[in-house]
Amino acid sequence: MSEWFFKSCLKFSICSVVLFFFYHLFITQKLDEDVSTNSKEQE
Amino acid sequence: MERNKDIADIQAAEATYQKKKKYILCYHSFSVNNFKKASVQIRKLAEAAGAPISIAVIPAFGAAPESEAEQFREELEKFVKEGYEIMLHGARHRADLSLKRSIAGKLALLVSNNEAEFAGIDERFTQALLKRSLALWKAHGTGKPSGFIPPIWFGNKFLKEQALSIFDYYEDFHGIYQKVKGNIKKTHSSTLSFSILPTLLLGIAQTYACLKMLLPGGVHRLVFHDKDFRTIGEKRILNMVRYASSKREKIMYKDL
Repeated sequence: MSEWFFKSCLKFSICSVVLFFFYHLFITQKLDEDVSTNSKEQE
Repeated sequence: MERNKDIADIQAAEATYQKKKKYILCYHSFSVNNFKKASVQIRKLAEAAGAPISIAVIPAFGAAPESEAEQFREELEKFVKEGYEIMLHGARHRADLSLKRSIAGKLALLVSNNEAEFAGIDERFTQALLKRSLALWKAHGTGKPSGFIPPIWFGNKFLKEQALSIFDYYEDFHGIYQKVKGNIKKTHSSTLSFSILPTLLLGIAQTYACLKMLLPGGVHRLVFHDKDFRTIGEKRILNMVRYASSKREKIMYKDL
């Protein structure tokens, strides 16, 4: 029982870290995007 | 045609669901020392969010010349007229080291580089400092602030009750408090702030903040300081605000 629980927790932690890493890559790209503002468009 | 209608319905339902989630955008430590630079930053944040934001103001004048203080007052008045929400953020922000503090308070000063003005002081001094903060604010003559935010969110066991007897809102690191029919109502809210984090952790902290905005639950507070514009950079900050506003509805404390 305890071994099963330990393995499940480990799998869940690894999945969370991997998902967070991919989300981090996505957000990093999103935050570095150049957004044209209205004032720039008017120029 | 029918399929397009279904897609539009799904998109509308998603938009409504996302807008049910709310967040507060607050600029911290607007003071007589930084108001010229900070005013520009605040207006940029508001433009990215699409509406006026909340501003936590340090009311002390310090040794600023009267002409600067007058310009600071004018800027505050302009913000109030434009619909920005004012929160009071301590008296001086920086702690008075001559005051007697509890061990937890001393630890808070150590962690915060002596910025946690209210940490660990007793009931009498808390009351006096709170009154001083309000008196300094009144010297600016621009109405009553919506609430009180203790510097670095470190308060003490007396501050919440005392602040809520004067202001409508009070917050600490874990939530926002308001008085409803004599009882204190807590709104669960995480503080998403970057100013005291080491540079190495800033990238992870930004991802964490965006993830908090994406996931349901709480009315989180996205907080920026003048320092963040140097460490994180303006482009990233404004993009983060745009991302948060696309996932949640931006509200002010008074909308809680």
